[in-house]
Amino acid sequence: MKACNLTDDLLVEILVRLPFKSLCRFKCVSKSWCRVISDNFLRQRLPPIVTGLFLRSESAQFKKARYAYTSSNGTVQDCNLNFFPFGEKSTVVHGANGLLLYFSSALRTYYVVNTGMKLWVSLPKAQKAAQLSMLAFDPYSSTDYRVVCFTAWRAQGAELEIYSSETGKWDQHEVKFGVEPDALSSRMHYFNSLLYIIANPNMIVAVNLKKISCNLIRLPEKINSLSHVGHCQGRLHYAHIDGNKLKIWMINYLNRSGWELKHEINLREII
Amino acid sequence: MARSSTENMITLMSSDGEEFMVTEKVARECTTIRNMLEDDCVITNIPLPNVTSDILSMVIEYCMEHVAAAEKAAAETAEKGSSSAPAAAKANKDLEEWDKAFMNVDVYTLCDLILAANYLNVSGLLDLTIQTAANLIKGKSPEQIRKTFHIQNDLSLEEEEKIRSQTPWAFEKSE
Repeated sequence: MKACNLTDDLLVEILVRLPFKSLCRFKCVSKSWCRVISDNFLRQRLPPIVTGLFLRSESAQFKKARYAYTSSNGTVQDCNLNFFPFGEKSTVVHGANGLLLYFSSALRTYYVVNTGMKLWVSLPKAQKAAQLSMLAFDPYSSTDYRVVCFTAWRAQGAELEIYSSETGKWDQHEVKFGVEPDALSSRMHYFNSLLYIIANPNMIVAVNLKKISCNLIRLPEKINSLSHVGHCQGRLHYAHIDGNKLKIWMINYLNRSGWELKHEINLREII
Repeated sequence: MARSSTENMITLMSSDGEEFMVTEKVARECTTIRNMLEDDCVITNIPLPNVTSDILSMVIEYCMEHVAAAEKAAAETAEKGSSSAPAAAKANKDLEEWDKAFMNVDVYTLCDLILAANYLNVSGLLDLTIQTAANLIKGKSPEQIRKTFHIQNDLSLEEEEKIRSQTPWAFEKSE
């Protein structure tokens, strides 16, 4: 019997032209298809997609939280959040890839709202009060999410209480950052089990939420109030605005600094 | 411009020993061969141990058609001084139709053509075959994919169930 002996890289060329839904389904074809589709290489080839944009406006007309998302035809649509009954009695704490994390301080309860499917869930009560909470959700790697609460600061570390949608439980952890908690900024980003936190003067603390371990990544320049960390096509990116210049770096372990300057844009020219 | 009789001819030899005489221009459509010719300009006989005669003849057919279309467009531009937009659009559409008919092959031939287009580095043919394969499998179920490509399902029931439960919406019927 004849067979198709396509190499993995040619199979990837075909797979990157398929809708995301087909890819999720084709993981079931065989072990090798599953491996190729799960592989970080394929993730790097996927186009970047914006799923949603959270708007909060103080104007009388739009007092309530609004959420807009990009639909498949490229237009931005307003998402009606009326399906969530606790919207007015709680505040939005964080949002990630189409999920919103709400907290009601009166009821000491967290809610996770799926804006796309118009579903919501209230989480069991956490044991401790949080200093800072965030939602860790990366639909490319898993459909499970975590709610990460920093409950107390320790020397060069913190106590964490983490809710996992997989187990449905809160768990207590202690983590060592390698830098003092005072150095941490509130700017965070989650991707593929890692929580990236920007820290002074020029660091990213990468917390592995599965293993509860930390890594420090040195940044190419000192951070400022306009620093951001994110992912594009599977690779870590760092951006900040310095005066009129927007600089975007991409992580590249082949460079001595560990980073490659990808874009340097003069903001005066585009605004 | 050099035409047929004065043009260099190149012999391409398939893995099963069949020889194909083509013009240098047609051979140059394959980037792999173009690079060989640029490295050594007196080369006239190129063995291609990775390509069978039936697949090689199809690759040559594709290259000839695309070279002829490009020459025709260039000749029309030279004749009229400028190319007319409707004529160029029609020529493009004709070539697209030809490509579409050319892709009316079984899945094994398609896979072999992808491998040959990749090896010979014919970017247009590689793009066409990859896109055809993507269109072919897009809406299929995992079972249909296995059947189409004769792939053995080596996932255990538990493994398959786990993958399905991660994205149940991907297995719903509507595409």
